[in-house]
Amino acid sequence: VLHFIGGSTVDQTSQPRLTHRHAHAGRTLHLGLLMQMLAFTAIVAVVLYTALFSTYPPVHDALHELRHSLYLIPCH
Amino acid sequence: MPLSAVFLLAALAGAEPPSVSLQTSPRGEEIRATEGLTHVVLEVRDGVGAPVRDASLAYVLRAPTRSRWISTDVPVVEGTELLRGREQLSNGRVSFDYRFPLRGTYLLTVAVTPEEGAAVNRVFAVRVGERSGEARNLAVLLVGLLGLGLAFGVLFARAARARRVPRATFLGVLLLLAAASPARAHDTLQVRAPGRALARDASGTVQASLEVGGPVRVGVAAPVRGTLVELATGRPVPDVLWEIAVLDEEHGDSIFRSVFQTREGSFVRHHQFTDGAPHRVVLRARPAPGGARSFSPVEVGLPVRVQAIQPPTPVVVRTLALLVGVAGLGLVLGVIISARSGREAA
Repeated sequence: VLHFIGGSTVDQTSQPRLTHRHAHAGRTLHLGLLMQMLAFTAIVAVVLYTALFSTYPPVHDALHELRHSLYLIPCH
Repeated sequence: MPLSAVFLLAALAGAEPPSVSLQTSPRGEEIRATEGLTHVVLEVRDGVGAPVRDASLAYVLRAPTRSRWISTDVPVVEGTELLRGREQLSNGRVSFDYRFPLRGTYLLTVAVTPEEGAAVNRVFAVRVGERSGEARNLAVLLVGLLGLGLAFGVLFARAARARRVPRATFLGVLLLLAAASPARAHDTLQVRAPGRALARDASGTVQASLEVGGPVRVGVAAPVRGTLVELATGRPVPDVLWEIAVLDEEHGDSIFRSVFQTREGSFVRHHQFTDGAPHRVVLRARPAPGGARSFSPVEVGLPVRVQAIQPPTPVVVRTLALLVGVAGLGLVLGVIISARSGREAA
């Protein structure tokens, strides 16, 4: 049986290597997406904490009024 | 009116305990947190409706208790004592102006102690709404976070399908932000020790003293003491009409104002400064109408720097988790939407 991949022709002996390559690609895709989602969530958490919750004076003073105008952001 | 009727009314007035009523301006449902002063009037009338004069009125104002899930912007103040005072009733009423610091239901506990007869206790609930526009601002923030998550979810899912995953870049940005995070920053608001100020009247015969005791920090009601003494003898001046005002100097707002009378020439009341910012307490003294002692009005001012307190960690964690959760929800939705559209396209 012949398989046609990307316009080239391969014989049946190359099947195991091909299957392994596909499986590896699938796992990389899954882990990459998860890592991105975790990284995004962590970055959002750090940015939100810095802007709305930290007591670092330059940030606190600059965004003080904003914090008090957002209904639920705790300040001093 | 026949004499018997007068005696009957007097007997009725003596038999029934005095009634206490509360009025606010603006009305309860129209009061907004930090939006101007609210005029609060406590009125005490006897059994026949006449104002009670020979009695003292003590009051305590407590802030709304903390909600389980969503905090206000000043959680340290929630559930704490804001004002405490005792005044001699003048024409059967006590009044003050106050800027309510946060939304929720305040409890105003009042105890009237007549010179004759039993004391009367009442608890009033004052409901204060949130500042106008705050709910809208929150909605904008939440929608923005949801949209941000959604956009990145779609982007990540598409990039992942195309195997263009710049994982190293994301991790680098994350590490950079973590290193630059001011998580170890400390609160540098200065704390000034409780102070005392003195002033004399124009003729130099009486001296007013104003003292704010410590600790002056958000979450605790600080004692505010005022005295007016004869300079020659050091004795308190009787029958003084006081006016006390608390100003937030950072915002230029008036926080509290009260006019009251004392017989002894001194008073102690408690006031919580609910913002960690420079304040100023101003005290004016002048002779009470019909008072025995005449003197020139005297004014004394005292700057008060208030120590800010960091919000409780559980409140910060809960609120941050809510906001990050909304962004995370958008992210997951974005990935799902992108995955479905990708399957349909295939």
